[in-house]
Amino acid sequence: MNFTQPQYRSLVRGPFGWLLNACLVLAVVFLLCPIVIVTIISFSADAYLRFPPSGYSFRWYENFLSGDPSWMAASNKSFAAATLTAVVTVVLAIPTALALVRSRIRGKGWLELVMLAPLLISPMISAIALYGWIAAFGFVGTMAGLVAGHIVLALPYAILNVAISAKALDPRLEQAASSLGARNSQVFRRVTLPLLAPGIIAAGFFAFLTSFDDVIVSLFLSGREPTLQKRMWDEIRLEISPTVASASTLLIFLTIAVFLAIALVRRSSEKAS
Amino acid sequence: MTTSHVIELKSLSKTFGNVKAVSDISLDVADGSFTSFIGPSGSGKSTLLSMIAGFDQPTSGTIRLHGKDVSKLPSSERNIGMVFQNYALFPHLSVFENVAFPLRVRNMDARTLTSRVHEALESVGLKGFEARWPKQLSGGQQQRVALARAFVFGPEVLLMDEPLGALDKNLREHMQSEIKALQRRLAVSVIYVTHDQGEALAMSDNVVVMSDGRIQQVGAPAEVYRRPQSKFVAQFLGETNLLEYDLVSRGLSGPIGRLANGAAFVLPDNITDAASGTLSLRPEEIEFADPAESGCRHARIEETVFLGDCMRCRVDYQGLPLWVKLPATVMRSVPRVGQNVALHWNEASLVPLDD
Repeated sequence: MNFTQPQYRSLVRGPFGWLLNACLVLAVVFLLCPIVIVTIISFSADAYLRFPPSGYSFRWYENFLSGDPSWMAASNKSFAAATLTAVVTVVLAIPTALALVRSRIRGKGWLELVMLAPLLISPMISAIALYGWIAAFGFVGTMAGLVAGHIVLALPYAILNVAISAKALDPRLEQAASSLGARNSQVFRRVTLPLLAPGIIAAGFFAFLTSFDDVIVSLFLSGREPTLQKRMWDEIRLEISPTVASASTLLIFLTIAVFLAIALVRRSSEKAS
Repeated sequence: MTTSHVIELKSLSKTFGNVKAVSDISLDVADGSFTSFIGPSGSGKSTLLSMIAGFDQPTSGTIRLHGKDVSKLPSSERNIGMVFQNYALFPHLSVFENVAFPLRVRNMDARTLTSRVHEALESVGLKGFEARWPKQLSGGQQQRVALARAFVFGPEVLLMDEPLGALDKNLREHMQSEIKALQRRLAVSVIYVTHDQGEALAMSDNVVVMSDGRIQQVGAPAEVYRRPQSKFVAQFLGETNLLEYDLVSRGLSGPIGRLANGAAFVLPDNITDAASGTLSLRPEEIEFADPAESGCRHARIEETVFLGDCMRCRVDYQGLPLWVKLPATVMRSVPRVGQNVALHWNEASLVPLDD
């Protein structure tokens, strides 16, 4: 795919070019530094967090993967919660986004704002509010309670992502499908869903990461068996072993992989349409 | 023997809020015919098509398709092929899969499906394009895919909503004759919606002129063009001169009228007895005659417009402005502004209008 890509061979030119370029380089260094440092510490041979490490080893990766079983238990719990959150969030987001985009009701702008309000509210406040409700129904410490909490955090992003695809979907395509003999269920499966796919996939990935990366809601709701983030939080507060760095490094690369996957899906769907 | 009708509309109306988009339309469309609905935007022609396709429910009235009442049926059960103005090709499907879509939702077996799709693509001249994506095709090619997709499943009628609106002039004329040829070959009924009167006249067996949600006139293109019944139809289809007259007398040689400029002339026999009325006189029905002849109508050329194949002149006919259209090829002398000419027309070309 090289026909529309311009050639990027030079940095910014012009009177203040050097300043812009310097800011760019500083921003990249600033953003990448913690990742690089954490990655280096994760290979530490020391017994506690220290930079630079006095020696290198895989011992903290071993500890994470097989040494201390609580780490893998926490990881599994996080994976399960994130997967459930992603699935339920997407299932809720698709009809909600379609209704939001297509309805012709008064006050639709306000409704959209309400749907997206959780984005503007501090997760701490959401977590406290959720705790009250979920405790009232006796769901604290259960998977259902945790997933419910994560869905509240993830749903606005998911609706936003699906709504972007829904807005781009020409309703005449569905009319065309219907005139060609497709029943409503066939129209949805063969036309609507595939055309919403980029938004749905992005929504799913974001929901997964929202759940997986969450620590605040998990602090309140995960109970005695912690999620990975909660387990890391406990580790930092109580022990400060470099296992945290190893776990972080694994998470960082997992996140990068997910974002690459989203980018690839986006690009292949753009190529098709 | 009765001719069968592909579509019968009976007292069809559609109201959006307080707006009557379509009011009380009844019409029979002969099987196998090419029928165009023309009218300005807002005339209700697209709403009418939308109701036939099943995208809009009529407020009242019925739609019959080959005698069967389909008013309440969803679009998917009407067996109608629709070509949209923007083509509405599925962007996530290849050309082959776009055309295969109506067959797939009908669960056709793979072998018949493949041969039907190839046949349809071949008949629109797109053999070899099966693996392309809609985005990779030109406007004309997308139009052909949309056509193939609309007729591949053998619909009872093809509906086309301004299908050539997005194409440039040359391609549009080319596609007009292709669509017409395809319609004859497939012997399928076509309902065609357009605001382009030239397109409607060129392609149709019948034109239905609409305005304000009502049918103004129905007939063969030549009939509607030559014998418009109302001012609206006369002006919407082609150009015309409207002559307001007062009935002076019903003489031996026929009724005599007087124009606003005082000129008296023989009216066609079929005018009503009303004291005054309006006539339509097409610019191409007026000829320039030799001013020396007796009994001729003297006029002066005010403006000339060269249009390539013809020349349009605005003449001052004793205070009455008229448009005259002359073929440009055989003209011996080019009319000049300021020149005095005599006008000549045949009484038969004066068409009395209703309002």
